[in-house]
Formats: sequence, structure tokens, C-alpha cells
Amino acid sequence: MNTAWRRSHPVALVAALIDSVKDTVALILAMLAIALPNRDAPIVLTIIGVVIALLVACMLVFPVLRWLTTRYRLDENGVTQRSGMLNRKRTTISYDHIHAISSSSPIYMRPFQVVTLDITAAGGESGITLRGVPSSVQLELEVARQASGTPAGPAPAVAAGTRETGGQGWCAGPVPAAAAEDEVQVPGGRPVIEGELVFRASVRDILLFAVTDLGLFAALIVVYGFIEQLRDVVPEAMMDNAQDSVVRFATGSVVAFIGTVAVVFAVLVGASIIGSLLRFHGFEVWRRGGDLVVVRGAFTRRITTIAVDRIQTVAIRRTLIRRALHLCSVRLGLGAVATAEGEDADSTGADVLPVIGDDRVYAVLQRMLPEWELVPPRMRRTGRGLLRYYLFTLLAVSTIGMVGAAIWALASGDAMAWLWMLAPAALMVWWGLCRCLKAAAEGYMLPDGKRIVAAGATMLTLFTVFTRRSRIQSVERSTTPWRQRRGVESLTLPLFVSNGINTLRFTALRSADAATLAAWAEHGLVRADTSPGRRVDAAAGGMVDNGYVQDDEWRT
Amino acid sequence: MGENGTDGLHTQREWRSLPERIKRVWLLRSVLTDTAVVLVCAVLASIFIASDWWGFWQALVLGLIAAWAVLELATQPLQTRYAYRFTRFSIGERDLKLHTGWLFRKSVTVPFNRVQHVDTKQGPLLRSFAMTSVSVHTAVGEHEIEAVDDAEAMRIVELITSRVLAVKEDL
Repeated sequence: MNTAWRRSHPVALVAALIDSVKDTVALILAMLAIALPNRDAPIVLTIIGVVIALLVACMLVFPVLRWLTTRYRLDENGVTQRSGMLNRKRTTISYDHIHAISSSSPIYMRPFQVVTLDITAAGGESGITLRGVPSSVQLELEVARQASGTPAGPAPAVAAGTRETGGQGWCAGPVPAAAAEDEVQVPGGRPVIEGELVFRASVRDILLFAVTDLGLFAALIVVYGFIEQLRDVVPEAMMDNAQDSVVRFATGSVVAFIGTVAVVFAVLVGASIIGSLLRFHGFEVWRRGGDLVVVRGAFTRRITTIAVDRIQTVAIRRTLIRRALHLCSVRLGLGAVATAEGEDADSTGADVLPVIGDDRVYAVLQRMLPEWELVPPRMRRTGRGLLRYYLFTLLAVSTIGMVGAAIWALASGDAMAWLWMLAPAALMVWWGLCRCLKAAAEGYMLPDGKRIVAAGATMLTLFTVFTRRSRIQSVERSTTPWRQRRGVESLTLPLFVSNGINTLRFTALRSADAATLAAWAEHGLVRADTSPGRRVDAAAGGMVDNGYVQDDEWRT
Repeated sequence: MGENGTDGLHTQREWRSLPERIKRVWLLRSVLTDTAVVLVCAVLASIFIASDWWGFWQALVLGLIAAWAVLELATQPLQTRYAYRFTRFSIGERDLKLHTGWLFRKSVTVPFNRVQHVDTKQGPLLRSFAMTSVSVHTAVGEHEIEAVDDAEAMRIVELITSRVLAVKEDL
């Protein structure tokens, strides 16, 4: 292994300079905007001239200094990056602490066969970003990480060129390996990874993702924010005129109104489709030994390598829209966020199945992660019959809100103030709907002493999480004296996950279920009725009476 | 101080209460906090009145906060009594168990093979009563034995550390 200190490619300096110019240009324009109205005041012009000169100097000098002083090294133990001239910083991540390696290859880097690598370590440990390094460095890192003690598997190899499997949606069988070379990528070519191609997103999959993505509606807020920002630069009268014209046209007739709504919706869907096609173009998931390799992106090609033994959870999510279309998405829970350079933290390499049909999801997951033995679970619903415990807090808060609004209306004497009572009422309806869904969804299954499947809901999205006992950090049971008398508690199992569902939470469950879950989490014991097809071993686990020896958790 | 119970299996485990002196710490802490809250409310009310910005809502909000603090202080002896009765800890062979709260009761089990590190803390109040708190950190959080005698704290840290080493598995 070459353990010498290495410098990044000059293209990284060019990229850093461009970023620096982008960051500074707005400030320079603002300075010029101040200078123009004051062009008759020499002192103002002088000060602004000096400030602009300093900004330009900083804009050019800092990236150059940073590039000149940044070095990285791969030695026997780990990867190290050092940077800085006055304040020197040195970060080392040992190979066995690497959770994920993400590479990003924008179009301007491809001719030089260099990439930006994001190396993420567990939790709070700081990661390392190597900009403008040869694509072969990713391979070096993966080989070193696998050699450092991760599960055995064929040494990673990535071959140059294009290879088609002809599969639609996903490829069932192993793909014959192409000739292995020490290159991750070739100019203009698609990276081919030695291993088994377990999923390939078709154009139909990407389109389904685009039209069912909730970000579609978030775009409306972005557009509204953009229009509001325009008010700062466009004369107010012009904006008001434009707004009046649009409103007049849209409300002129029923046809115009429907047409306007349809056009807005079509634009949003179009933007979502284009964005998704760029982001997920060529989306593939490969299984290579002990790693999952996720490849995606049109202009900027991103490759994320995830060590399977670092996976904390597998979460299947179903939003309201996707539930109606029998679709779902799958995200792997990791101890570190596997975000590539320039990537949205909400959509990373850990999203191994952005969208897939309910009927196919378990078949694909079994090929992707055979060691997880993922099958459709038969859940024991814990919230059934306990809806009042889910609704009590929201009813109390909403009632207090409505009483407060009523007091205010009485005190102010304004008849319109009574309308404020609608706010807590609306909150009660929305929150109540979410809590009802949560009560219906929460549940668990314990396939054996090591694995758990938990289900729940976040707002209107349902999720099913698969994880292992070794991932549970603690068992937290809570109750109140009046709940305790009725044998009702809540239970929380925190997980070491940085990029998604990081807690298995049961808002209200019976003490027998809480005791079962605690016994499983603490001692690996399972009850027969929570583990289909499993026999009770009373001698080994002490399973008697209601499936648990005696629960003295709340004894004082 | 200690008492026996089961840990859900057939094995016995010893439960321990905090030192009796913690009751005085809780009372003192409550006196200091609640007095500070009432004083802040009084100062804010004076400022509002002086600046002619005193009305129904200001009076209602500050009055509720001050009333809550006074009520909390008045019921503190009772709270302390029940909280002391319920707050216990148990160091088992494979895990640490904590019981806290009296109205909102919480029971936490921390398996030793999830423990990242153990540390001790001693604020001015605990120091004046010769007590120390012991915190056990996992990858995602912190769990605290609120107070034990100074010497006992060191012994507990060593005990937990040795048991962590004994049961540590690969994550």
C-alpha cells in the first residue's frame, strides 16, 4: 500500500474556486449596489473598493491555500486527512470504523477520472471528504476496510465499461463478472461493479417515484417563497399588477380556474419527474461480498458502498399516496449518514429502494440482504383497545387551546376572535387522525431471540422496521400510577441510527406486551404467541403463566 | 438500603435506593428553582407595569407561571417522599436498571454490552452533601444514577466498567 501523503487533483482546486466565487459574488454585488447611489462620495467609494478588493483576494487565496495545505494518506490502519496552515487539522478514520463510502463524480471531473469521496464513520465521529481524488482510491479504501475485519467476501473489484443485464426493474440472478480493473469509472461509461445486481430501477419506477413523492407538494412552498423573494427586487406596483392579473384570470371562470390548477400541477409534476430522472438515472443496487453498492445519478454519478454488517435497521415506509397505489420505499438505517457530496440528506445511498411495488419488495430485499431473512411479518398489534391513551394528551391540549381562545374572545369582545377556536379544533382533527393511525399501526413480531419487526406510523406514513437485538441500546418503560393500575405502559427502544427511524416506540401497550419486549431485549427470550411457529422453551427461558415469569418492573 | 427482587428471570438482583441525603438536595434544588421563577415573574411584572404594558394576558401568563412554581414548592415535601420511594437502581451481572419519577414513572434497562463509557458528575449541591452522580453513556444517550456517596461512586464506576468489559460483544 502506498502510504505517502497525497494531494488532490487540480480540478478540485478549480471546483473550490468556482464554489468560492459563487459564495462571494452576491456579497460583491451587494457592495456595488451600495456604491452606485453613493458614487459622488469618494470616501464611501474608497471603503467599498477596499472591501471588494479584500473579498476578491479572499475568494481567490483561501481555496488555493486550502488546496495546497490539504493532503491525505491511506496507511495500514486508516485514512488520514490533514489541512490548514495556521490552524492545522488532522482527521483519521480507522478502516474498521468506516460505515459507508460515497463517491460523487460530476461531469467536469469525469475526464480526469477523479471523484469526491465522503467517508463516514459512526455517529459523532467526524467524516472525511476527499475532493478530486483518483476513483481508484474508493477501491483501495473498500479493500482495506474489508481486510480490517468485516465479513469475508470476494475482494471488491470494479470494471470499466458498460454491461447490460436486460432485466426489467430488478435482476434476479448473479451477473457474470467483467474483467476486474483498478478503476471505478471510465469517461463516458457506466461503472460496472463485480458482484450481483439485485435491483435496477426502470424508467417506470422512477416516474412512479416522481409522481408519488411528497416533495412534489413541498415544491409549492418553495415556489411561494421564491415569489415572495421577488418582491424584494421587483417594484411593488409591478408585482401587485402581475398578481392581480393572474388572480383575475384564474377566477374569471370555472374553466380558467380548473385550467390554472391543472397547469400548476403539471408544472410541479414535470419538475419532479425531471429532478427524479436526473437523481435516479441508472439507479442500481449491487451485492458485492459483504457490501451493498448503490449507483445513481445522471450528470453527477454517485456510488455509495455500505458495509452490510454496519446496517442497523431496514425500514419499509408507505406514505398515504403510495399506500393507495400499493407502493413502498426502503431505507437502510445506518450509524452514520451516507451522503455523497452535493446530495440531499433526505435522499442518500441508504435509500436502496426509492419506490417498489408491495408485491415485489420482500423478494428484492431477500436477494439484497439474505442474512436478514426479511419476510412479510405477522404483527401483534399493541395499540388495539387502547385508543383513549393515544388521544388523551391531544384532547387535553386542544381543550386547553379552545378554552384559551374562548377566554380571549370574551376578554376582547371581538366577535371575529371566536374564529380562533377553529385553530385548536383543526389541530385536534389532524393530530387525532394521526394518533388513530398510530394506534392501529403500532405492533411487533419477534421471529426469534435476535430479531424484531416493529411497525408504527409517523403522521400519515406507515413504517415497518426490521432490526436486531444487538442494535437496541436500552429499554425504557414508562407509565403513571393510573395507567399502571390498568396495566398500560409505553415502551421505547432507542437505536443507533442517524438517518431515519432511530427509536422503536410503542405509545401505549399492555404491561404483558411491554414485559415480553423487555424480556426479549434484555435476555433474548420470546413468547410463543409473538413468534409464529416457535415453541416455548420453559426450561431455558422460564416461560410460564402468561408467557413471562413475573414482571416486577414497577414494584416499589 | 438494598432489597431483593427478580429481574424477570429466575435470578435475584439487588435493588438499591439513593442516600437519604438526596431528599434534602431535591428540596433545596426546588426551593432555589421555584424562588428564582417567582422572582423573575415579579421582576417582569414590575417592568411591564413601569412601561405601561400591563394587561390581562401578561397578568394571566405570569400569574399562572408563579402559581405553578408556588404549588410545586408547596408540594415538594410530598413529591420528594414519593420520588425517593420510587427512585432506585440495580447493577446486575449483564445490565444496569434505573427507576425514576413518582408521577411519571420511568424504568430504564441498559445492557452493559451497549455501554460506551461511564463518568461521574458533582455539582455544588451534591458536593456539599458529599455525593456524586454516575452517568452511563450508550451510543445514543445517557442514563444517570442521580446520587451516591462519593466513595461509592468510584466503586460503582469500577464495577460497571469491569462488567462492561466482561460482557462486551461486537456491535
